[in-house]
Amino acid sequence: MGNFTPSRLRRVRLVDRLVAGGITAGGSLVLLAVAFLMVFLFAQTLPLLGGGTARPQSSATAPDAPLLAFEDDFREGVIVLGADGVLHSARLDGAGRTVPLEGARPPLREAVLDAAGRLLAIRDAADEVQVWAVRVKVGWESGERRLEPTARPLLRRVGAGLGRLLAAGGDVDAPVVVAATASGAAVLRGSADAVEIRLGTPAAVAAISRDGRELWLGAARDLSVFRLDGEAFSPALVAAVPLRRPPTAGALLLGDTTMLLGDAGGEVTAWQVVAGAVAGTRMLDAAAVFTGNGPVVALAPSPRDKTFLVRRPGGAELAHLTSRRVGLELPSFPADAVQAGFSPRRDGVFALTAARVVHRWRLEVPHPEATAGTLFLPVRYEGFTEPEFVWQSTGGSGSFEPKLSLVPLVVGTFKGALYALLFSAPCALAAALYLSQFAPSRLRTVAKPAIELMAALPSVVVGFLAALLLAPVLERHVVGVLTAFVVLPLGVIAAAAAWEQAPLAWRRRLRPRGELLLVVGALAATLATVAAVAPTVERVLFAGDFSAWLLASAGVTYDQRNAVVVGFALGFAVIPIIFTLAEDAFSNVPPSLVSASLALGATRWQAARTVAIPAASPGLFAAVMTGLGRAVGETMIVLMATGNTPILSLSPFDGMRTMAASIAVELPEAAFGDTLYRVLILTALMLFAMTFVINTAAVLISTRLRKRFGRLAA
Amino acid sequence: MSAPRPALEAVNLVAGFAGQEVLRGIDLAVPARRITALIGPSGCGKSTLLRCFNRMNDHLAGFFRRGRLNASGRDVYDPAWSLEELRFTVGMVFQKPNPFPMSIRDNVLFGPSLAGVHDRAALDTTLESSLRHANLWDEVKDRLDASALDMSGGQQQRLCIARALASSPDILLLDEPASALDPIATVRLEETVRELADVVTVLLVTHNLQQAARVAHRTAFLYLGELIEEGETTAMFATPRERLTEEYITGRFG
Amino acid sequence: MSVRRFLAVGTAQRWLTAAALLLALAMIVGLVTVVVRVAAGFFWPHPLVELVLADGTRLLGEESGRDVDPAVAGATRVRIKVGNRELSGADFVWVREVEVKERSEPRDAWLLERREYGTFYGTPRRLEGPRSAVDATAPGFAAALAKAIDEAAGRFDEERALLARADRLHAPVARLQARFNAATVAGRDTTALKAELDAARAREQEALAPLLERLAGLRAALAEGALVIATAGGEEKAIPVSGIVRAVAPNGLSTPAKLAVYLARWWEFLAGAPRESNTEGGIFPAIFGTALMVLLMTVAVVPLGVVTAVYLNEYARDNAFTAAVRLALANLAGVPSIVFGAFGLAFFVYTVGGGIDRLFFADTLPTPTFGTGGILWASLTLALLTVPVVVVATEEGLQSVPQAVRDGARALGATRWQTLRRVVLPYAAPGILTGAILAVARGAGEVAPLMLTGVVKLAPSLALDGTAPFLHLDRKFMHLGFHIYDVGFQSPNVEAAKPMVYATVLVLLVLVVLLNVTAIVLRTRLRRRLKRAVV
Repeated sequence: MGNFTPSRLRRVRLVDRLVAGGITAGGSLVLLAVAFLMVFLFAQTLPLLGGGTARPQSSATAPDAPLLAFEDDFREGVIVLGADGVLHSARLDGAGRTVPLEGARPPLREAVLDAAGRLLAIRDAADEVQVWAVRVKVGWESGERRLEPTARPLLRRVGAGLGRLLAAGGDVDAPVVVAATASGAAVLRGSADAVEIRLGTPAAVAAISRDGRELWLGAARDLSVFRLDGEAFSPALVAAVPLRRPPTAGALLLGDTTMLLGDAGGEVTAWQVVAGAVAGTRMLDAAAVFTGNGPVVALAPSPRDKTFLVRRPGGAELAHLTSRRVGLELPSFPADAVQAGFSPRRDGVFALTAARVVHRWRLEVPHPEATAGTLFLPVRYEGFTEPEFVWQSTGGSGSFEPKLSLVPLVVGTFKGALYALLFSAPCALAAALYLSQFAPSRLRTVAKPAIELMAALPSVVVGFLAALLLAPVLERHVVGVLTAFVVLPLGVIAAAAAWEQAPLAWRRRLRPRGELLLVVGALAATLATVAAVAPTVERVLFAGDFSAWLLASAGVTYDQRNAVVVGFALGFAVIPIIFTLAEDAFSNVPPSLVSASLALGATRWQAARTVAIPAASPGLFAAVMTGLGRAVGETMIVLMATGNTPILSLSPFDGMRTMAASIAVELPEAAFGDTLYRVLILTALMLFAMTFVINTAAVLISTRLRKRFGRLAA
Repeated sequence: MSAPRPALEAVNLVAGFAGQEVLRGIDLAVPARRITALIGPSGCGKSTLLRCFNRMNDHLAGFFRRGRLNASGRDVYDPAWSLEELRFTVGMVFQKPNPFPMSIRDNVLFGPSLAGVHDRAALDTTLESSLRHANLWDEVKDRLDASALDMSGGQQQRLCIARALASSPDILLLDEPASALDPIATVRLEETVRELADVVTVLLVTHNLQQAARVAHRTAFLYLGELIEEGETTAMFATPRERLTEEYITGRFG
Repeated sequence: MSVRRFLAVGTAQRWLTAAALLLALAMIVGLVTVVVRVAAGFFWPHPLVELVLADGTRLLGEESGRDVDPAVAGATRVRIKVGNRELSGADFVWVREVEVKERSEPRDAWLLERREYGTFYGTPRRLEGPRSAVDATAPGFAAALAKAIDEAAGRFDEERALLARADRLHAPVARLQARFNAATVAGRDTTALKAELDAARAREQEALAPLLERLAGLRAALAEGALVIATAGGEEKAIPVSGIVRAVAPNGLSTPAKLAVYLARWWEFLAGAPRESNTEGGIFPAIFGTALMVLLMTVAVVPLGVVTAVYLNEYARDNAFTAAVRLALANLAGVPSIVFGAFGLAFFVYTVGGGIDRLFFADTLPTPTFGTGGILWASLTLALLTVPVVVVATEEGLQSVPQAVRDGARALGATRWQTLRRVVLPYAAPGILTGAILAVARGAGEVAPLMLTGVVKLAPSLALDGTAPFLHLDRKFMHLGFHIYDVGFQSPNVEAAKPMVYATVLVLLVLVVLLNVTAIVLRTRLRRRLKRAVV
């Protein structure tokens, strides 16, 4: 009845074509998703590779005879101190304000600013040294933002007999100023007398730590570090080192542990105090040397990180201490600059010229501390004496230097995965071999779903039990458990050998189910023996306490959450994966091949060894690879069952931190777009790439295998 | 409608898969409102020939064909004749019963529903007449909403016939419809097929010579992709013209 | 027998492989047994023991573990949960058996489950009501206490409901406040907003007034009534009745009464809200969050997975592109879930969510709306993760459809799509269902990606509630798996919370196992059909 009406036919055919298109598009979506995932993650990490940019911005005009300049937090204007003793605030849109430093007698002779940009030290026409607390307030006036510099006098001292002002430091409550003297330097503070430090030659450069207690003095022939102790700020020499060339510029980097000294030879040396060869002594060590063309005129530290600006007669460039990255040149840097520095948020650089211009650059160097070198090679961080691989992404203070070496994470990842495979691969492969070749068929109907359930267990459950149940038990019975791993197989072999001696009649009557019971018996007996003997073994061999013995005899510490626990727990998660794939590989071997071998008089073991295992071996390899992929990427188990300590150690009794765990713990805390965020995304991308290679290999292998036996089976 | 024009016609038909010819130049005319049986040994191409007429082979990988194929006097490859319409004209029943996992009613009315027929009364008429033609009405009239999968094999196959009839085709292709059935179900099916000639032209593939003899008005014998002989069944079984036909009929090979 | 012959016969090898399988099975059975044993026993009212130690100290509590006494060979020590956290400072004490002089199970010892400070163990003295007091030795004491607790609980629930209503009343003000703050920070003109905000505040105050009055009354009533109870050491303490969730004297209870307590505790656990930073009370928000997240995920993943499977099985030609799709699928299945989490955070949360915020919620920036983790992003991330599960199962379902059925439909003049929609998909439905169930099971157990995309330890409100638009896709949510991680590892009192975590593990385990068993049964049936279809 009824045929298609033409309109219905058209509609039906149109729908058919549309759906076909839609479904094809939908099918490609998966491909697109994977490709997009990879490309997107890659794009997120790309900024790590770029060195950054510095672009000239509009400049501002400075008053006559400018001494120094600084910027406000939002870079809306520049504040310039003129020799007239007035702070000139120039908004870039033209509006400006002036705040005179009351009581400073013009013309000012010189001025220095501390590293934080809070303390301004000047010397006025009457040779008086004054320290002012300066701030730039952003105020609102009839809906408009205004910049309001404020200056508060802190200290006034007659500075007769003092040479150049070298540095200001300390804080608002206890400002410290350092000036050169004929034979060294003088420290001025509060109402007390100046403390004189004799160096032999006048100090050329100086820097004071933010707490005002540590003083670095560079003179013509040496660099010394003094500790200013107690109420009297009595200087005690911490360490000193002779210099090859007299310093021409100096700057203390954020964190107050690295002193940069520039010299006429164009070198910038990063000096750090390290422990000396004799215990309790300390010495100065050149942690890094940066070379360049032309003598160093001045150095300016970044207020936010370990970046610094190097001024030379021909221009200026940026460098970074940790990454040793040098060379971002500031374009068209004025040759007549008298001072240069960073903006408070390190998003810009300014340079003040004698010609009354403040040049400005916009800095986009988002990730100066991350290079292929810092991520993958050993790095000498501040406070270290040797280059090392360290992952420590966050610290207590703002001056903390993030240490982002991925090596401990990669090593930790593979350590965990390998321990897991060490346990799970033999177990799963053997179990699959047994189930596919030797087991009674009724066992299959129970064992396969059971193992499938094992695969379905949420890893958070496995991790929880591993950490809170297994780890404490293992800690107490580590000897017994480790012994059991060795003894169990031996026990089974011994039982098998014993069984072979049993009367033939018994052996003939043994069905596979009975055999299974015998194995259960053998396992139980072995376990009972181990449990009974282990405490004695521990008492005799390890003086009753394995971890203490381990520490005493091998110097190895025993972490409660260690690689053995992880190997066990991760192995638990990996066993079902390897097992299922291996079982598939064995099942894909045509039974006729095995039967043929049995027909030729081979025992079932020989048939398995000579036919089934070789035929399935590519599939078994693929199974282990897939298991490795899973172990590498597993997150919750390692997160819970390791101590998450990112240490480089292959000891089975140490914990570790894996890439996946780092992502899980640290990525939520990382700010979008910052270096840690991008490094962690890079870690995710690396995990993706690793598993991609592993999975692709496994897929190719198993496809080829199926093709080969597909023909044989047909 | 005993027009001289044949209901199905193959003219110098060469067809096969992946370069291998299965049919080598078939010329066959199937008269309307008659039952024609295609017989021949396995692999002679009778199923392929059958499936040429409703273009079912087109879905198989590597299929090719040359020569003309007409159904109801129209070229089945006429671009203006859609595949869907062709199959409404040329229905087909397969070797194994293939009821859909739905009710008996929905199975039978599958074709009309594709065509977008919603008229309840017309559908009910179609349902009953199709099932009656398939000799199934009395068996299932009380459980039309039961699942078709719960029927016996013979019933399922007759349901498939009813399902094909519901689209009121001119021609019905039967591809060894009884091969999966037991002897009793086969008898019922053959009765059904014999009565079908009143409504449609039937082209029946069978490997069972007795079935051909019992059911078909005309018989065509295929051997190795060639049409050896075609004619009235009684005549062909009594006095085959070709020696091959005789040998096949007498069971010397096959 | 020679070694060579021994190796050839292979008994040892066979036994070793059998041992491997047994080991694997023992591991899973052992794991499940431990969880079930600890979790199932936790809610049972255990006897309270009173110990008198050699130095005269008296302890009252529940025995919760036993260990080897490190000091004396062959002796043991017991761990007693002594509770009374605000008095003793520690929940547990270890007692060496050799020091125990006396041990009894007093019938008048009670344990109080409290809203704060955990369990209290002691001997009640009297129940002080607003007007009268009931002595603990009086015959009606237990009934009076139960009644008082019940009444207080009713008031407590009402108080909670009122507070929730107050919260809802505050919502418009909070929204305006966020906009106002954002405008202030961005330096926009705020006069109009300020006026709007003040008006909203005034409205809120007006609506709030009767509510606050009722609340004050409730709180006054809640402050009434206290149970004076003595610790084992004899110290008396008055505990407000409103602070007691349940009072049980387990030593005097009959088995049915214990069973009632047991079931009541399970019910509270499954249907109640968490207390004491998740270490007590229930896990209902986590169950609800898991269910809702998984539901949203299913809505996203099933269409995508089915379309992909249909493409691969019905439309795809055997070419390089199809091979690439299959490879992509295999990789999607093998890529670590944490990578999806990172992608979900970077793409869904920061890129898509950030974009939505800039477009539609710009007036509250920098406070993010969709640009932070939420249930929508979490479920989309998990959807991506579970696509392969659905595809594989659906493909299996599609392959089980006999070719004859497809041919039948095509021969009746059905187009490819009609065949698919009317015959093939209904036929493959069990496969699709299997896929969906397996995806749900996987999604319910997955934790790592959620940690990046919106799970929290304590969500202030469910993502589905009575305020428009009812389904709040931007809200953060709680999740069973994350709950396990969080309470088991991040809570201040891990030892006390441990049994709760075991119970949560049991709930998750039951959920996942049930889902998987359903899927396995469905699939076994499908495979049987597949075998028939192939024959």
